[in-house]
Amino acid sequence: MSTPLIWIVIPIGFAGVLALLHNKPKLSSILTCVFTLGLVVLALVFPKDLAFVLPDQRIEIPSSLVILNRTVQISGESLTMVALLYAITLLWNLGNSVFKVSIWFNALSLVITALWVTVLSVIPFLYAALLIELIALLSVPLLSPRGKKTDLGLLRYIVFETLALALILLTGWMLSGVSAVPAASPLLLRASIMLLFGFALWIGAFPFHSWMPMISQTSAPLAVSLLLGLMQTALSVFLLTFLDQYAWLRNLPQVYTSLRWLGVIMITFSGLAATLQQNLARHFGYLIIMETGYSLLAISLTPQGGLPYLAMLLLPRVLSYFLWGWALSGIRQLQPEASFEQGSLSGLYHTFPLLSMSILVSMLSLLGFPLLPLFPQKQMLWLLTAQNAPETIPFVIIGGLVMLTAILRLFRLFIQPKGKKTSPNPAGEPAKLIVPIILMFIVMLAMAIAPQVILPRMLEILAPFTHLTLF
Amino acid sequence: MNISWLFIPAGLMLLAAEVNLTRRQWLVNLVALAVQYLSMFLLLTSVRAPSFALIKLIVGWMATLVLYITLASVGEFYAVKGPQRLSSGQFFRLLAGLFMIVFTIVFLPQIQSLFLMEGNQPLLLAAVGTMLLGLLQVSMISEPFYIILGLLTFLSGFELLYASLELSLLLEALFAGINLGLALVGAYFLVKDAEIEQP
Amino acid sequence: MPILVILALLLVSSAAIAISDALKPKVSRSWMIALVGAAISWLGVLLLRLYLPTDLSLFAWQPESLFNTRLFLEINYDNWPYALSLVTLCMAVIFTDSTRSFLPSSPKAWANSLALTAVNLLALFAGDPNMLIFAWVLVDALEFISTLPSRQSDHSAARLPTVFGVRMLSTLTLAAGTVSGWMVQPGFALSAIPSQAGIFFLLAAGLRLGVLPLNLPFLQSPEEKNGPALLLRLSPVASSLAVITRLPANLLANQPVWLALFKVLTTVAALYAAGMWLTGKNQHNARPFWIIALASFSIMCALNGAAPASRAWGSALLLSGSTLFLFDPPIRRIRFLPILGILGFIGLPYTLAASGWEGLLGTRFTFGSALMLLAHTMLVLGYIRHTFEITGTVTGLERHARITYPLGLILIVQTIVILMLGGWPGSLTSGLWVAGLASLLLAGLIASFYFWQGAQISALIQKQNFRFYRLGSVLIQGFQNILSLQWLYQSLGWIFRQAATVGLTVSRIIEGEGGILWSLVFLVILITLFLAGVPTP
Repeated sequence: MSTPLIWIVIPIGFAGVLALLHNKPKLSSILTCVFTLGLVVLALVFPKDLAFVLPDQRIEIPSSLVILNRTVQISGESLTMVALLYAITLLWNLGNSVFKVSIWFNALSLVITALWVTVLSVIPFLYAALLIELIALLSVPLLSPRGKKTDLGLLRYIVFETLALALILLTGWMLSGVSAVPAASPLLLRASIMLLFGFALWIGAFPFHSWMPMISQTSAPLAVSLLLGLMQTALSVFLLTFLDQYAWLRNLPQVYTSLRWLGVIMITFSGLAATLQQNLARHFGYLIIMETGYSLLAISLTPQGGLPYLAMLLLPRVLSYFLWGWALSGIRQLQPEASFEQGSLSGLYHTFPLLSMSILVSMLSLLGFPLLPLFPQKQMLWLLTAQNAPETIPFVIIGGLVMLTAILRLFRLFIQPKGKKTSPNPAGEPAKLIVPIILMFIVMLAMAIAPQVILPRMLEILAPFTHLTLF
Repeated sequence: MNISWLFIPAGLMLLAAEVNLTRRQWLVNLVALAVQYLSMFLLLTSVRAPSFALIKLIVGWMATLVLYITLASVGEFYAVKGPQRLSSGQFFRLLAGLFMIVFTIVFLPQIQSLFLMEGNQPLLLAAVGTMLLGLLQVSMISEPFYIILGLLTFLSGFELLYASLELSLLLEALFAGINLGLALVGAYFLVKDAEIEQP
Repeated sequence: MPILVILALLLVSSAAIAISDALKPKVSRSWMIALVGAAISWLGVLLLRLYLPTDLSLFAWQPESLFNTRLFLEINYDNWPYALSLVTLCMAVIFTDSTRSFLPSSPKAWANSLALTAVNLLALFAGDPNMLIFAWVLVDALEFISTLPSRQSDHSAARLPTVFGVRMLSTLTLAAGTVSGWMVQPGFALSAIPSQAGIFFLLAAGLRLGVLPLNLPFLQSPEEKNGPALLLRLSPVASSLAVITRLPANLLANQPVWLALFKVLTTVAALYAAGMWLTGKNQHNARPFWIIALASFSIMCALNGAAPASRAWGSALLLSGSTLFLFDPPIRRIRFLPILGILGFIGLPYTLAASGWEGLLGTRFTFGSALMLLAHTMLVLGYIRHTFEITGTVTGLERHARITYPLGLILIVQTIVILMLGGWPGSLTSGLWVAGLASLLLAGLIASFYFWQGAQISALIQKQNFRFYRLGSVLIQGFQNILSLQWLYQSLGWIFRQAATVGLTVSRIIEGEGGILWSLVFLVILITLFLAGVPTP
């Protein structure tokens, strides 16, 4: 028994069982939820030194597993991240039990999560590029289920991930003899440029972003929010692996500046683009881009202590994505013909008050609006940015203001009085949709008012990165 | 070792990629894809043991087979068309592809120094040329089948390049998984779209 | 602890009314719960005067090395007068609303009023900026829930995004101010706002009050006359005024140009609003101008470096204003009660606003001071005018309302007296008695002139022949249009539409069939650009 076996191999095996049970969605859902809950709890309670001390003996669980001459290692310090990834899967699987996105949702979400865990654990870590490509391929049935025409955005997603794979692997090869090369070598600079562009393709940075709003528009909101949420969470931490492992990379003065400007451009661009959208579902793509921008901003402030805020952003951000996915899925379930086009959103509040407000709350939360869970961390990030990179502040402000404009535009649409011809939704919003929203509001409010209750635990995610300035 | 004969499979590989970029007849495309993998195998034997090189050939042909079976099963929708004259679009793609090949040949010395590969010119020519043609294909076409073909082409070029740089079993396995995955995804797209068009 | 008890009491009363109304509706029971809750809270706030200053630490965000926030509540001489005014207003609303107890919607309105008072008290008592930010968001959320647009009322629905947009902007400005303050003094309290951050706090409060920049989004919409609606409008004003009281003394001291600009803008706002108050159709229609005029007075105090003096004008805004606004239905026999409200802002020696003159006029008497004095005169005249012009058809009230209705108004007057006597150290003062006297004399002169020539002026106006009337009305209308900021929103909308056209075209190109090619072109260009800067080996 080893940690990779518990959190990678067994889940993939279990996903196989779930695939066989795809015709029994209820059973499959229950099994997935129970299983992922078990994985989350286990990851949280597992001793950090991976040793169980019994009265008469001490059992140590190995942290690595050798596959085809390469190692997959999950140390005790990485378990908080593993718990977070499986917690995300658990939450969305609970959602799937209500919305029934796809019969393959349970199995595929579990495999994809296990692969993300592998991405963060494989040695050499550059092989992760191939795993990320595999994840993209496995996402296809969730993003484009049968009965729906293949979306151009999805194809673009696969294309960009393939290009990123090539760039990252070539970087790896270039860096294989790096120890013999002086720090300011052109080879290193070239490698870091390729790495940067590889990452830009992965995370959907401008101008490689177009697939995000496209798949947000055409795919099921719950599936998109899960896949993009998982991807963003894992890739943010994966970027830290690069910085931690390559001393030359973190010592390159241009790296943090480039990351910062890339982040700031993403924040500003996403806000501007969001205001222009005619389709509600597409906003999600831009929200993801904005949040990736904030992640990059936090990482760029690593020497000044930005990383703890990155770690503490992960969970609240995911909750906001979930709220978004839930609300949109709820509307689509109650109104299957809902297209989310601007014209059809008029008066949405009068038909679905709580669901429509959830959409706005999730957007405001991601914006870092007070009394919502991303505010404490973002406020500190703004402070760090103002102190260390004041030249970027105007762009961050513009990005925030235009995103606020986009939110207000939606608000105006939602509360517009309905025409006399339209009758209110007779069924209203069923309790099974409303209760989780209310619970989520409460959790989000608690996190915003008292971030010290849960969020400090998230700092453990940073423990494996011993070479980076953490506090 | 005399490697000049390797220019033949390299040329063949580029030709296959060019055909896939230009033509829109799935049977021709799949045959070209199979030829592409065969050429790749021949090129790989210059840097790998034949047993290792064979893996890529088998995986490539399996991917081709998956696509062939799928297309054959939804044959009514994707009917086999006879030889056609080049349309203006196809002619444009042909020229663009040729330009890419010429570009690769002209800048081959620079590319060699970039990848620190002084010896194996045919392999580098085939790898970089195929990658560029694959990229051109994915950027110029929006039909799922041809995008998947483009990606397979791009990947085969990249694998060829990477095989000369690093050898790892796990890497080989993952590449095999990705190639087959791409083929399966392509098959999935074909079936799905055919179901919508022909309910 | 007493702070929490007061807040809890108001919230529990609100919840009790809601539950009672849901289970077994009975208006008298709901009214009694509301009254008892408000009365005990009022008494609690009054007694807190004996323990000033006092604070209540809630908790600090952990780890403290990563956060600068320690949430705490504080009550001192800066916010206590506002707290008492607000609870008074709440209680008065419940007293006077007994005239409307026949309406089935009244219990809900009372429950809302109590909850709204509680969250606004939270904002008033906020000791640190984040506590204030949270309280403001809560206030806005509660206000949103209270003013939910109905399915058919397109009028208010159209304006709500503007109103809440301004509120959100003000909250974010406050957050920006907090960050700006933390740069010099991490974890500062509201009682010690760093001067660097002061401008943000001023703008945040100014935005909420509608003064800086002057914005009147609700100008065209009809003002609700009832008490709970008044509370809904005035309570957020109270929490904004409390921020102004705490602004640093050296606000904008290093930026004289900005200071001068803000003073001009504030003076213009005060004069315009006072003029509109004086000439308004009735007190309800002119209510936004009353708020803006007196809020401008408060802001001017802060700009003159005497922020604590703003308490006088702020309390006057709440108390004197509500004496007049709550006088509905107007009963002829008790008309003297709203007149007593004038005590709150007349500014004569030993009245509530006497201590506010020094802040309003500044240390040196300038042209600006004269204009502010004129604005005050117009406010006084307007108040008197509206009091005397109140007409109504109601001649009598129900038996219980005959006692409770005047009691509500008396309570406000009584609070004016309490604040006058001991609202804060130095509240009972002769102040700049000359200013008060001058304003009163000027008001007297204008009133005399009006009564002397009034009939003729009215006739001229009615005939629309008065030489300057047309020009004046056009000017005022234009000014009003400017101040409503509709032109700004329309211009922004136009810019947005043009940008959207360009943006959507670009988006179509990137997302179209050649999108990947475009992205690859970008990639190649960027890589080439980067590599161009890298020397070859």
